[in-house]
Amino acid sequence: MPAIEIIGVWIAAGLTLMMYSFLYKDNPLFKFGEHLYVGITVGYALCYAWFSIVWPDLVKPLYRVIVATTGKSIEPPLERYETWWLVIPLFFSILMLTRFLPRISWLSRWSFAFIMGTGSGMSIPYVVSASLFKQMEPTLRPFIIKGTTTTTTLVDTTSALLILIGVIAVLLYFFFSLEHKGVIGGVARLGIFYMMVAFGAAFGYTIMARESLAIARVQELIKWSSREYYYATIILLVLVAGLLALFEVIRISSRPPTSPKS
Amino acid sequence: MIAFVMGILFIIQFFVPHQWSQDMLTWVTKWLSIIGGVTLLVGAGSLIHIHYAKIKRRVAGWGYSGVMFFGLILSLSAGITPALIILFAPAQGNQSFLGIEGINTVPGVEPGGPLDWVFMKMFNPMSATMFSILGFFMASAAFRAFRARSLEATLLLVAAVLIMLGQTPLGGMLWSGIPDIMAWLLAVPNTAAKRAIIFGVVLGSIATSLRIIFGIERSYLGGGKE
Amino acid sequence: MRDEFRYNLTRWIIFILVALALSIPQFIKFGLPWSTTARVVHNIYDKIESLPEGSPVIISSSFDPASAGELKPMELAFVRQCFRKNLRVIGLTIWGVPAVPMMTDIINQVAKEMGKQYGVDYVILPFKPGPVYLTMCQDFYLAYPSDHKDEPTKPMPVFKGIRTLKDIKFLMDFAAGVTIDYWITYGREKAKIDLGLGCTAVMATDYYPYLQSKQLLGLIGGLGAASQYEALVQKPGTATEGMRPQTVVHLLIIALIMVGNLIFIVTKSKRR
Repeated sequence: MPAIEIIGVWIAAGLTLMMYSFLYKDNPLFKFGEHLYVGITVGYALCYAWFSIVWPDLVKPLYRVIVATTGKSIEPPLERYETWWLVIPLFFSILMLTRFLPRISWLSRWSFAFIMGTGSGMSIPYVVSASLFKQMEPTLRPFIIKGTTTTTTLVDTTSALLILIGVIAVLLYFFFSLEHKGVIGGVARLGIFYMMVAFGAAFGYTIMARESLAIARVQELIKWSSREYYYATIILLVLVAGLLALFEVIRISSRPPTSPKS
Repeated sequence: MIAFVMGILFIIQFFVPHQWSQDMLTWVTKWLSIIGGVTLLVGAGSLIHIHYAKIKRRVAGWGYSGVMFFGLILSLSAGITPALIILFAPAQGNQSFLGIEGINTVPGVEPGGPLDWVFMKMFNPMSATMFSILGFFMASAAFRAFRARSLEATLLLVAAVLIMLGQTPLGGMLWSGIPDIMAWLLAVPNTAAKRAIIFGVVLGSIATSLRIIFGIERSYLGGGKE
Repeated sequence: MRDEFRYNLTRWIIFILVALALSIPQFIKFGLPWSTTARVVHNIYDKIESLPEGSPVIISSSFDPASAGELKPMELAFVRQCFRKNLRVIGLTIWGVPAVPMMTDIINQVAKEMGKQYGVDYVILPFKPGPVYLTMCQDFYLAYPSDHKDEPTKPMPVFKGIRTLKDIKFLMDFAAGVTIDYWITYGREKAKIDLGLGCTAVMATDYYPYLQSKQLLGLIGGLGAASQYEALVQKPGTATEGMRPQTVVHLLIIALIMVGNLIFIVTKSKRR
């Protein structure tokens, strides 16, 4: 195995255990890992933004357009998106960067307004169509679902009816303009029961999700505790535990002594 | 004004099948993608500014901001150095580094490069571990807080327990009906409740979009003078 | 001080129990076969099986390392099935920067195992922020003029016959965020593309309404469903391995809930 792979595993195991040290309490090891994580994320995002978006989609095409306009031949020929229209995103991108210059940072609002206005306008018709109408349709019809047998027809139709009742009941629960009394109060309470089942299901699934992530980490730590990786997990576990004990000793010894009662 | 014009334009665009309308959609979505990339740079710049200010003012915990900068410089140099080697010193390219040939000439975010190594060996484990810690805290919370105090809470608890059993093979082994009950719970009451919530969210998002278009909602522009 | 110590001690005991429940079953191998596969999981498997050889399929990876524990096994199993059926796999992400290396790692791993060629059988596209899904509905190559290595996409054999998103036979989104909402709202509405979702268990319950409305063909929600998919593809992996500790830890949490409620009932009756 290449040396860089072994070093990588030791670093990964060490950082994993440093993050897990939070289970004891917040400590300098966890804080170190947390800030290192933020720094690496920012650096990665910066590299990605340049190499995968700004350079191939803006800088390189515009450069090629400028070269082509001067009459020089370029290989490969200009693509469909490589036109002078790229000046528009260039303009808004430069405006966005004015955010770093306090005197003219107000110019960046034009870029934000462009993004938000376009996004909002685009989303309204699609959201109405996909999330409102397409969801209302199966709630209201078909009312009788024909299954393969009489039993499945009865079950499917009853389920469809229960879904319709449930949607109305939950929507009514959130309608606070009407007082939840009498019939309305009863229907709203039915809505609560539907929501409790849904949230219980969500809770059960959430437990599964979080434990699955923990299982994946434990699988990796176990793999890294093998001889192949020079018992990385075990040695680093002892080291982290030792450091936590040391921090605790330092914390206790640096506490001011309690004054004796007179 | 810009938000209003673009917003109305693209609401109308949805209903216009003409080629100009479709071309406008194509080009503007491409431009948004490019501006989004620059926005990443702006976001990163803001974070750098905050931590730099912490170090400058020597506030409590400023040392950790130094750790943040260390991580930043590490990942930036891992991404940029190979590109510089390719540009200025291509002869230095295919050297072996700690067992891997030519790693110093894989620029940017390409797999097999130094930045990819930093991502897989440092970012990956820390990110995964942070979220997995919740698994432990959920168990503690389940013991302390999950009480059947009322009918509603009991209903929630029963649904949660059935789902937890049904999501593993053990549920089907204990009783063949558990997977079917779980499927029904998800397909009927859960669907009904979540659908009603979707309606509420959608109506809210339409209202917010209209507020942005008509200039009533301006918090996204940030504070400060015009 | 004493109360704080007792609170922390209970917490640490529970953490140790969870750690043991997660780690001991990793060493003690016992079989836990599924008695049944969920219909919603089977739908995705059946759809891929029904596609003719050479059909283009998009895999949208919308997760980061934090969710890889759940999503990586299901994506591995799905990619295996696609390559076994000799489908053309196009990997992309609309979620964020960290998804690209995860997706690259997964698809390359399976491609290497099954002898698939980059550019011919599969391709990996870079992350592009913004509504790239709308651009894809108009012109695929405007959205993605180059792949993640900055090579032009149009000449690649894997893109033969593809002009827009409408030419894609199936799109599978492995999501830890709300990207599937964009595919349903824009991709399904505009391009009428068939969609499947593989998601973290946290989000799974939110997407059942879309199954009923047929906007989603199927759903693989969480590690349990991932292990069912591995069983369908007949290649058990980390999801199947994970079912042992998953089962033990679920039983532990159910036991903790019952003990907690028992203490609550006893304390309540003592107060009376």
